[in-house]
Amino acid sequence: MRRGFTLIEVLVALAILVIIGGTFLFFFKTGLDAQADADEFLKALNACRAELEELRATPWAGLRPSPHITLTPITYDLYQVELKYNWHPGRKPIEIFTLRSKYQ
Amino acid sequence: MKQRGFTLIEMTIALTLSVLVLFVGTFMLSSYLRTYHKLSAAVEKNQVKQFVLNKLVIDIQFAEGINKSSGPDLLILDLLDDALRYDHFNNKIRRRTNKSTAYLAEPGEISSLSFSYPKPGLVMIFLDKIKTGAYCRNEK
Repeated sequence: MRRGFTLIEVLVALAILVIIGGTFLFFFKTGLDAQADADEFLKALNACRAELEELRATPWAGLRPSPHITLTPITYDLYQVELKYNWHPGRKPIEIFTLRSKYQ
Repeated sequence: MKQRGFTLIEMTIALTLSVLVLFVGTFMLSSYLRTYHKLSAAVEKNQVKQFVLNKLVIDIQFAEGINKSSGPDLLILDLLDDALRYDHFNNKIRRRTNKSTAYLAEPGEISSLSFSYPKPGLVMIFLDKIKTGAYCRNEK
């Protein structure tokens, strides 16, 4: 008469348990990561707003590009403003395009 | 006669195993619930922060000017025939005009709020760990 389990049976049972447990852990991790990302993204978006508002507060003659902002002259009284903000390595950076006129 | 049913040992082992499995299941469920509550609380907090920041930025952008007696803890915005004051009071965000007072967050949702004024018309807002800025469009 057969007694106990075969090695295969034990291995299969273990594998199933590990897969179920792993799936649960993966769900937790995904949720927590998403939350951390959302926190960072909120900060990044507000930092972008700060930079653009600061640009707006700068008089025309004092406009300079910054590490995140590129200024391309379109006409003598108009800049194209490109803001690129890397908020997380491996994530799509925040990119905002706008215009800045001499007259505002 | 051939024995039928289970021995005591078998029953004990089976019971122990089921209790173990139940225990693990309960643990997983409870930690799922804990994480869920933690995450939804965090999301809600972020929404409140974003709301307060947007309100502040819009109020600054469309104010008549930034009052000179504003400081790091108190922002005073000039309106046409009124003034708007923002500060962190009793663990809440307080928004006052001369006639009314409103609180923009529940106690504890936002733990700090301060301001700095790097350029004329420009207000930097520091709310918890978030920094943003707003430029008053009417500043002369």
